[in-house]
Amino acid sequence: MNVSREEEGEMIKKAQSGDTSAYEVLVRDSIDRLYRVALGFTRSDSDAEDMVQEACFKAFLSIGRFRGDSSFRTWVTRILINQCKDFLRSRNRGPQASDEAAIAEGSSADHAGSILASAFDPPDQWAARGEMREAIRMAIGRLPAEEKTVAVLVWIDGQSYSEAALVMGESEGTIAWRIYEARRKLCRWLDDYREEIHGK
Amino acid sequence: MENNRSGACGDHWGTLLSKYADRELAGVDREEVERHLAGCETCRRGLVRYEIISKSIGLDPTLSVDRRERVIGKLLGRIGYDRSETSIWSRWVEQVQSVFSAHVLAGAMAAAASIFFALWIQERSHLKELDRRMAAVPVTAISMNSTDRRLLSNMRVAYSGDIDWLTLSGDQIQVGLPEKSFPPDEFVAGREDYVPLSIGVASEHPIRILARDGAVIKLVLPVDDRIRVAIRCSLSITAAGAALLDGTFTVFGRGMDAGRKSEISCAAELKPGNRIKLGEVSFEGRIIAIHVTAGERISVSPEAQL
Repeated sequence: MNVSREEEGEMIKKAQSGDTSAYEVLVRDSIDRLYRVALGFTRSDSDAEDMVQEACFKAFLSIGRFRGDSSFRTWVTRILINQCKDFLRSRNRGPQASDEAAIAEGSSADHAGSILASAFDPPDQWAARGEMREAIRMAIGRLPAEEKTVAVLVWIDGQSYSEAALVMGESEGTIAWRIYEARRKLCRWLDDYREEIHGK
Repeated sequence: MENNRSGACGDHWGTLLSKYADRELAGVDREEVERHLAGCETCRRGLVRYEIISKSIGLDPTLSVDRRERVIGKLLGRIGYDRSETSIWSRWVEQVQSVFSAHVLAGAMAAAASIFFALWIQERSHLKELDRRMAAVPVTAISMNSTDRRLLSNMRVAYSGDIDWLTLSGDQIQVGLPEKSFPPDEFVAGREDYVPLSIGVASEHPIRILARDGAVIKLVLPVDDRIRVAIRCSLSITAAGAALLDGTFTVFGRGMDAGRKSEISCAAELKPGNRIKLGEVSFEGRIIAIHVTAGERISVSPEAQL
């Protein structure tokens, strides 16, 4: 379903006057992208579903205050990101605790580390590994909140820097810098694992 | 050149390489990076690493149809919108029939009807009691002085005057008053302030009143606060008004017929998005939107022992 900007404006007006069927149209138009963002944060299908549902519910309750300065999807994505951050905070008792622990400790960390270490092996060796994607995403979970958010929006949801900038209320330059910082950290971690496993 | 372990020679090229890897560079900038890459082994290797990171993640799959419908179904359930009550009912009956024999089903239906009738009687009694209590609450008009400051918190207040409309969405109640109710320069948009306003809203927490936007007053309540409102009024229900009764709330007593003045009592858990026009109404629960016809006089008793 693709709702034009003009149609979206009409739907928003209707939703603001209490038309729930119009709100459903708006949600249907955005739900796949929202789910992807939520999954990027939670890495769990059921948690992502809950996050999307909760964010859309909160957005409905606040739709009267939505002034149309951005697209509906951008606006709900902001709500969703805050929802996901709160969720991770309460789940991990700290924004990065779970993923850091998962990578730094235990057998699963060794497993993830070995996968990550092989990331810089020749492409024909790593490309076939289905686990690579999950390992790097686990490493993304270690990033500071703002860098993680940009990584989710750009790499996992496929947003352009300008779209991500709108969602986060930042300039494209800031987004570019955050993405670069995220890449630097991921590279460094990959190198560390590589050195740890294969020796310097 | 500096290799900062990011695989590029310095932050300048690192940032550009990162943008290049994400296809965020075009024109002159892109050509500049490509010229640099042609002569820089470090950055060529760095670019490969950068692309590994972003490309190996890939986009997540979108929702399956089943998951999408489940999420949307739950959401719509929460916001009080049932897209196809009839079809759901039919489906339910079909499912039950496939499990139980006809006479077992008939027995179950009879039992359910008895329970429903008992609940209905109980609800009617409750409404009568509610009506009695409301009638007992003295309606005291509080004067609205433009210099007063008053915090509405667990107060017993009454309003007698014109309200254009009143709506609640999330944590915000908006009360539309006729323009003449306030001098135009009394409130400044964007300023947060307490103002005297006697609207029949009771909350367990202080109600902050935000800026005035035209004739719109915004009362901000804590999120998920339970709000109790009791309103008694009488007005003519038009055909359009009757149409507004579509929703999930239940009407007890006499029905509201289009085109004639009618009195009803209703009790409802109004859900987000529902909207009613007021007849003689008493209700309790979470109010999402109440629209009162402009110019109608209403009396509001916020804490009528609901």
